[in-house]
Amino acid sequence: MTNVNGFQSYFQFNQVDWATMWQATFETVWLSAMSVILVAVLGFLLGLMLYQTGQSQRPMSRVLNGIVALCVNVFRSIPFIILIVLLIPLTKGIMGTMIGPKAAIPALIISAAPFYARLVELAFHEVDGGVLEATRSMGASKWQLVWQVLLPESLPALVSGLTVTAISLIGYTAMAGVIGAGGLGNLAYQDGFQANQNTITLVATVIILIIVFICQKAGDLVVKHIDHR
Amino acid sequence: MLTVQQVNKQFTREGETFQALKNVSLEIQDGEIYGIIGYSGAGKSTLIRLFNGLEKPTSGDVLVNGQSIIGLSEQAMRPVRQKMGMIFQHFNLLWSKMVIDNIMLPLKLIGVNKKQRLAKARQLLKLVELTDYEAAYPSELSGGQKQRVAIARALISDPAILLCDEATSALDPKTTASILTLLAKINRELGITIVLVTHEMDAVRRICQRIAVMENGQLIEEGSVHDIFERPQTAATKAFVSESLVVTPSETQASIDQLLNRVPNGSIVKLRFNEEQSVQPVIGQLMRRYQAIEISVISGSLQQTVNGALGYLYIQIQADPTDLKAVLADLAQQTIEVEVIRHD
Repeated sequence: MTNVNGFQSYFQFNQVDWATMWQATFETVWLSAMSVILVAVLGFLLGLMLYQTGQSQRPMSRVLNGIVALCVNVFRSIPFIILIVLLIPLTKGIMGTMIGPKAAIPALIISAAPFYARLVELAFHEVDGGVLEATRSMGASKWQLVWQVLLPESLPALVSGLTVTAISLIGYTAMAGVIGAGGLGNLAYQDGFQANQNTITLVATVIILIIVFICQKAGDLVVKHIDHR
Repeated sequence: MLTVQQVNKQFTREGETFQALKNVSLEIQDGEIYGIIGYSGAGKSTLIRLFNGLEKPTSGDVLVNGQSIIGLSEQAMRPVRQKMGMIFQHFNLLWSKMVIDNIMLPLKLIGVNKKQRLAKARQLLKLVELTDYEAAYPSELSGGQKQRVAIARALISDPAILLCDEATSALDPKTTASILTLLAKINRELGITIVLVTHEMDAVRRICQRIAVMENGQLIEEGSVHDIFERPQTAATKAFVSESLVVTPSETQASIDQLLNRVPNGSIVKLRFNEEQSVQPVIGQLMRRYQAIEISVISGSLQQTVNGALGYLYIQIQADPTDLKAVLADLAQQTIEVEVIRHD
């Protein structure tokens, strides 16, 4: 393969091995989808916990809220590339490997779940207090309040929050690729950057952009569909 | 029956204590429409929330049908709440659910099956005259329609009591009137006790039988609508009453003089209707009983309430002195204040 320099180097499509490219795309999509699902579940539960303990006056709740809030703030603040390196021993312990897509999951979740938890908490706080009071006046239990009011009334915010989280997760998976998690990030770094094949980097970028756009569009459509305000 | 006994309620916010209710006691009978009136911050919204335990008193007791509810846990409070409906100033409907699902929510919470829920909800949609809006979302409705949905939702679990917290305060006068009419109908036809918290004296006058007036967390006056309207004791109550009973020009001295000029002969008597009663029979009776006299109504201002009218009438009586004396004595025996403006 010839290496062309300058602007031309972006358009050497003979450099692209499409089978590898699709494989990498698939890996990125799989990794992103898996982590989005796990982050959605974990973030929702954490967010609910932050919301519920934040409202209670009981000392137990205050302490719990403090701990969760601290963890959320700490993990949200660590730059992802550092977090992934920091977590290598833990990843080895949990996943049995530190190479490949699966190895990236713990770091992806730990960085994104607290972020989403904050968005969930925020979404819950935006639910009209009057509606919650009205439902309490009907004799609703605590869990009925969550499932019948809090969840449906905050759903558009939960979905748009998840869209934002998913998009940053796609970015994280690319970064995780650099340290061996596979996918488009890995391809762009190894075959593109290290082998000086800019076209591969460009194609990988375009594919990631397409994935992000699809993700954003899908999120917007869902929100539009469920928002009856 | 709802009873509040010597209730105090304090809120502490950021170290500052605020006394929302000060030694409030009252009793609301089954089947009545009871108004609680006061300016904002008077404590009336806190007071109404005592009945379904949304607020707990700092001291004192709250009884629902003779049963104290202040010691009840949130869990034990649930059945009590299910027997009370509540509507709010801002309707508090779930925007995420269709009208029919909003109405069915209370039954869903207690686990009634879908078929029964739907049947009951449709029945209530009919009552509040919104049959065509079953599948609409609240955002597609006007304020009055939203409050009708909220009323249907509040009534679906067959409550004995309906709590209304400023239920007409966000509505225009015409819509307010239609919601009040609906509430009166609900009280009449379903026998539901209604507690109406409001700052609009007009709303209270129109449908309530008894009123409590609140100011700065205290219940400053309580009594039947006509008592409060006719003999307001405190400055705050007087202010409320004057807001509603617009003083018509005909009650000022200048207009009385004008009246006297306009009607040169006969005696002129002012009748003040304090009890809520129909005006027609009073005049009719007089005319039947005293064939020799002539009575005509010359001016007046009457306000319609649930049970009759409140206000005053000027009548002209043409009769000989003995008959006139008898007429006045007759009127005085009824619960009518009689004031002779001019003797013949």
